[in-house]
Amino acid sequence: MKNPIAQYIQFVRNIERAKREGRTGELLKAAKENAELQKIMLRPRQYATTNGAGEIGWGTAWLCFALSSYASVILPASPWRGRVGMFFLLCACVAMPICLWASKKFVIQPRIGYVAFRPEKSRWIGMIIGMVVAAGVSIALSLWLIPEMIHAAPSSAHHAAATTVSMHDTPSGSDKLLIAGGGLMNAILYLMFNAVSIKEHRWKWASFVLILVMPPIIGHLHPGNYLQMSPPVMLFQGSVYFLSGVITLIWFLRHHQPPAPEAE
Amino acid sequence: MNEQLRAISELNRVIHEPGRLMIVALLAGVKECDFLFLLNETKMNKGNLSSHLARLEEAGYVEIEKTYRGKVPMTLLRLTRKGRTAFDEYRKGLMAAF
Repeated sequence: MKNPIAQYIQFVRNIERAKREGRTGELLKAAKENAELQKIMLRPRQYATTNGAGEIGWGTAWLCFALSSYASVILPASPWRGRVGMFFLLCACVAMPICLWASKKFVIQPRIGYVAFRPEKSRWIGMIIGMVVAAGVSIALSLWLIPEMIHAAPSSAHHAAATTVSMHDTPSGSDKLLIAGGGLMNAILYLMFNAVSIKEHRWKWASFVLILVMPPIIGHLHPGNYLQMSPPVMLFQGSVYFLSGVITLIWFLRHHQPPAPEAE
Repeated sequence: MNEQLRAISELNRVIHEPGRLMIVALLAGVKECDFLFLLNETKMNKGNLSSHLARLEEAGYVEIEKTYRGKVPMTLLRLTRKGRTAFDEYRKGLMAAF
C-alpha cells in the first residue's frame, strides 16, 4: 500500500486543481469511490481485533504480571516462590502471541476462512521505532525514579562500599503520576484495540472510562510506593481487559457461525 | 464532459463490474485467502463467486490453487502481479474519470 501521507498530499493537490477548474463535486465523488475501495481492502485485517482475542491476550498478560507480584508477597519463603513468580512472568510474555495464534487457528479460520497478509515494510519500521522509543522512555523513567525510590547509605564500617536499600511507603507525586500515566496509556491502547468494534459495542466506552479513571483511585485507596500500588492496578486493568475480550469473543462466536460442511 | 465519458469508457471492464471489483479489492489487501473467506466477505453465492473468479483467472488477474488443509480441500486465491497493476491503474483511471 502507498504512503498515506503522500496520498493525502496528492489528494489536497487534486482538490486545489479541481477548485481552480470548478469541479469539486466530481472529485469528491471519485474520492468517495476510492475511499470505499480502500475500506474493502482494509476489511480483512479487522478480524484480528473484532473477536476480542487481543484484549484477552493483553488482559491475561496484566493478570499474570499482577499474580507474579502477589506471588512474592503471599507465598511463604521457599525456592518455589521465585519459580512461581517467574512462571507467571513467562505466561505474561507469551499470553498475547498465543491468544492471537489460537484466535486465528480456532476462531477466524473455521468461521471466516483462511487469510494471509502481505509482509509490510512500514510495520517493521514502526516496530523498530516503537522499541527504540520504549527503551528510551524506560531508561529516562528509571533515571528519574532511582533517586526517589532508593535510599542508599553506608551500612557498616567493614563494608564501606555496601549499601542498604529501603523503599518509602507513602506515594510521592511521581508515583501517582506514573500510575495515572499507566492508566492513560492502557486506556488509549484499549481504544486502539476496539477502534473498529466500539461503534457496535457501546458498553466498551464504560470499560474505557474504568481503565482510565480507576488506577489513580486504586492508588489513592491503596497507599504505598509505586511498586506497592502497581499489583492491584494491574489486577484491575487485566480483569477489565480480560472480561471485555471474553464478552466480545462470545458475541463474535454467536454472530459468526461456522459454515455448513458443503460450503466449499 | 466528452473527455470524462472517454475516461469512463477506458476503465478496465473486467474489474469495473461491482462483484469483481469487490473481489479484486479484497484480494489486493491480502497476500492470499481461501474461497470461504471471499464467500463470507462478498456475501455472494458460490455460483456467482466461482464465475467471477473464473473470469478474473481467464484475464490473468487471479491465481487459483487447489490444495488441502489436513484432509479438507481448500481453494487458495491470490492476485497476480498483472492483477495488482490492473487494479492500481483502475483506481487511477477512476480518479481521472471524474
